[in-house]
Amino acid sequence: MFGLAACASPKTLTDVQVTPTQNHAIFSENWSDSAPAELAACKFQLVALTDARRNRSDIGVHGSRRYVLDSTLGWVRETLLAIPTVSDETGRPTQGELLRLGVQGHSKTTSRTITIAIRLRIASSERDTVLVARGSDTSVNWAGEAEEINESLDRAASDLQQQVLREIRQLPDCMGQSPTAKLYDAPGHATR
Amino acid sequence: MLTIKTSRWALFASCLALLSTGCSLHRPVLQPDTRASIDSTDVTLIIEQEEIIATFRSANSSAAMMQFGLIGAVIGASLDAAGDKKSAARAESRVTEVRNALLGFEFDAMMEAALDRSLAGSGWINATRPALVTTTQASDDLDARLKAGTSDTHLFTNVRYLINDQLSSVTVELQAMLLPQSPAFQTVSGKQLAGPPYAQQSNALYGNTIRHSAYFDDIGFEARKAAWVADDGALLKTALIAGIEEVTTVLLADLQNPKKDINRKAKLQFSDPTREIPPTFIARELREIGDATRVRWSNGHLSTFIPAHALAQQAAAQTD
Repeated sequence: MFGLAACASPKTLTDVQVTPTQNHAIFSENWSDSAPAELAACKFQLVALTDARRNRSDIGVHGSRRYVLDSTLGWVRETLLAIPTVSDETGRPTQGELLRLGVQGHSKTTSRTITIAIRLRIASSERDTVLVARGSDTSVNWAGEAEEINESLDRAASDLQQQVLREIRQLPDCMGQSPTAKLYDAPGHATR
Repeated sequence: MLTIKTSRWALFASCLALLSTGCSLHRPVLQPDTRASIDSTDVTLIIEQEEIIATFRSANSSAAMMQFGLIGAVIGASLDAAGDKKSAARAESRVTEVRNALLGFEFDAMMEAALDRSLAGSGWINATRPALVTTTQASDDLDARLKAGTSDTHLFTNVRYLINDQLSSVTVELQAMLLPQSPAFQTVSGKQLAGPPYAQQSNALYGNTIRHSAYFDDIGFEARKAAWVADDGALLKTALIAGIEEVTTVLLADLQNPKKDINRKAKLQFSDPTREIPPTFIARELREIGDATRVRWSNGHLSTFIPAHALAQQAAAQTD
């Protein structure tokens, strides 16, 4: 945003390195209670995760701080692999795409939201299923320090896991019907 | 405790910064003799967002609490921060389906093409193809672009697209600023870029904010949500495309309008239809264009409002 409207736009941006947690085994107890992971249709092998973000140099700006996360794909991959029914070894072949991972400041406020959005294409012998899941966390920008962003990234990652879990459980051949799986039918692929 | 102290001082500093921010009130308009001297223009199109922005009304207890001095201001700011966090989280949650419906919609490319098309049709601005910038620009970044450019002038445009948390309006907003760039044109225009930041309103030959909003004012929240996202977001996309076309068309017309805002004396009552309880504002110009209404406000900004139903009907008629 330049000076015409925002009279106090920052002169320069300062890079802030963020390092969220790598351990995301968060909801395994809930998952084992419902136990759909016993079904073969509910096991997924993350064979690839690609980066479809428009801007990959940073994860966003809030105020005068530009937040940088190294190995973004690796961190998101760890987040997905921490879901009990997702692994990199066995299950239905699944392609992942990172659509968004960003910090968004909210105009005229001290709050900001971190969003992680992914698209999963789950292969089967007849038709692929494509679903989108989003995890987010909204927090107050107290001092803009890396630690605040790290904690918010962790909460967003946890939320993403919950959303992926929710989508997986609703797949028709797993537990039910996904409300969003119908929406993201890529050309040449019918969804279930 | 350290975190709490830091946060309070950060909020206090924010209050001071807001209070001390001084902004020029007079919007620059391009004069005919300056316009006639332009032989070439560099164009930068800045679109920082990756997805549609969810807007919401921010809390505002700080002003009331200021009467209780510093402690009151800090408490007020803390209350606002907590309220805003809740509102932001709710707004983000509400637009999930809207964002999903827009996956694959190439807003940036459409905006770039429309801006290029509009400027190419001017016959006088001689613009380069817009350079699309998708990262946040600090004033030093804009100054560097200005210093590196070789054309007479540089048109910076910053575009946002938004939906409010009530899902009642979808808005495309374009901010434009035309600056003298080459040393020779700085002399011709009488606007010398003395010291940084160069890219600011006081140095501009022209500046304005132009908006287009498609809105619902007659159906409930769930019906609005359903209408926007139906058919893979067809109405959302129609609203955004209409907004892109409108703001780029209006920009070119406004660049050629030399009338200063201070010389617009009319006082026309206009109710903003995008607000839940429409407040009435004073407009300087009102123009009906089909189903749309174009408004010029007292600060020169331009807003076009069109009922979403009318957009849907237009889209259906074009399909037939």
